[in-house]
Amino acid sequence: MFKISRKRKRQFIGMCTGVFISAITYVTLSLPQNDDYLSKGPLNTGHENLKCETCHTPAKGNVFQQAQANVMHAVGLRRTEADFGAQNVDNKKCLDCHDRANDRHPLHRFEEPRFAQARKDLGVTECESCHQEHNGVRITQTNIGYCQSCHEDTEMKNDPLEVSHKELIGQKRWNTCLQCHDFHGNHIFHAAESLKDTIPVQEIKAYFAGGNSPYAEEKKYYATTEEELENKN
Amino acid sequence: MKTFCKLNRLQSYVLLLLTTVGFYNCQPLPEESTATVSNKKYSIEEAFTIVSKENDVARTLYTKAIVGAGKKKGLKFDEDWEKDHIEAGPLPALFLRGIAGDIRKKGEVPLGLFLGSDFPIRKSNKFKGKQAELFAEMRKDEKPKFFYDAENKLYTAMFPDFASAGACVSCHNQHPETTKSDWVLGDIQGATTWTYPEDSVSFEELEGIIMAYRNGAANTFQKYIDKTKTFKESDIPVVGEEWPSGGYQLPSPNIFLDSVGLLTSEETLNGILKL
Repeated sequence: MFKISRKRKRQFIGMCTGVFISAITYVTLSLPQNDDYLSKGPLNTGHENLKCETCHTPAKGNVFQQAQANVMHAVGLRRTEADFGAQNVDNKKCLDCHDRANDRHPLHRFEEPRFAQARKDLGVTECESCHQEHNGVRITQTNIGYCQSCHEDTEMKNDPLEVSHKELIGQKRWNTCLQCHDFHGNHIFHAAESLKDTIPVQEIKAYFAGGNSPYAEEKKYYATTEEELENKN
Repeated sequence: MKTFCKLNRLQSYVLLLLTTVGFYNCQPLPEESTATVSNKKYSIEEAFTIVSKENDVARTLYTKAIVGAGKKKGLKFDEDWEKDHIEAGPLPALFLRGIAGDIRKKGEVPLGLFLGSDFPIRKSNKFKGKQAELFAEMRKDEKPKFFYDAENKLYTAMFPDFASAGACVSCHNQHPETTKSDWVLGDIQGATTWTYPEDSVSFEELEGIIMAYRNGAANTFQKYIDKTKTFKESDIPVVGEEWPSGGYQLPSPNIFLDSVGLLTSEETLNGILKL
């Protein structure tokens, strides 16, 4: 008859307690109502009611396959890495809901070599460069004069503004761009023709922070809803 | 002994079960792209050349047979054609931009397509850096340029965009924002830039590239036709088998694409067969 020491007994009880607490924690945190505890921060404007899995879709395969694929990639037996746990939340994931035919600045356009500086300055080929999630705002880009990166040479012969675009650029008044133009061009409105009719910078900053749109409430296209996305998939 | 055998058999079953589960769980995860290095029959330069010729034909056909002929029959074309209050179709440069956008929309084919110039209508379309250098060379030798954009990790090609129709010359010369007003037929007005993340492609990938371009052209043409159906002040053109040269009408996207296929088939087949 084996005699189990008290120390071993305590270790066994400790291990069982640890396993039990881990299991309870895992199950509790997996419940949808506890998503907030796992989140890095509050979801951005318009995303408040999204489920975690809408963006963090489970990766293909099981953990063994995912681990195996990444080991094979590390030793050169596989061309591509595999997502581990959840799929990478990349542009494609954002565009599943936000892709629009009328986007004035689609991401892919900035892949052209001549936009190297804009890529370096602003990271314009990634949605999250301006819309970093889990910040509880609409836009995380704080410099509203970012148009400077590509439009420094703008000059119009038939300039509709009382102060020409060239003059505004000469004076480096880059904040004035967004006072007339919305970057993605989806709001239905007419740009002002006089500087006094333009949108105040404070309103644009409030919009970036999650406030109502100062351009127009009406949009040409609206983002795909979670339900529509689920039906599509 | 009997108990021992029973235990051994049980252990064998458990071991077999664990092996089966383990084997099932550790099956290799299939790769997104199944093309292997040995399947890569075409260099990216060859692939770019084939799809660029498709583009030359489609754009020339659109410029001559749709824009040029259509304007004579009363069809309108505008750079702001996508705006709700503008009742017009896309100008050739915007037709290309529509195709480029459509190629990337589905995200299945990582092909990039762009249009630029040293004298663009919009200053933001002016070439800079490496593209400006190579375009200056292209103006002299009229040859395509290939390079690897190391920062962007993309294989890149530039092909001359010749003024192949009267409409190219007249529209650019007369545009109120033009930066050059003495274009003549045959001039290099700009260049198309193509990008792809790999240095070679398989036949399937090449097929994907060609079809992404053709579908992009058909979808952009369909968008134009959809737009004509919203016209309130202008007449809605008839869409069918006839071309604008015969009246205020447009061919269907299939007819347009069939014509592109007919005009490109020989060159594309030669490119695929490497003749």
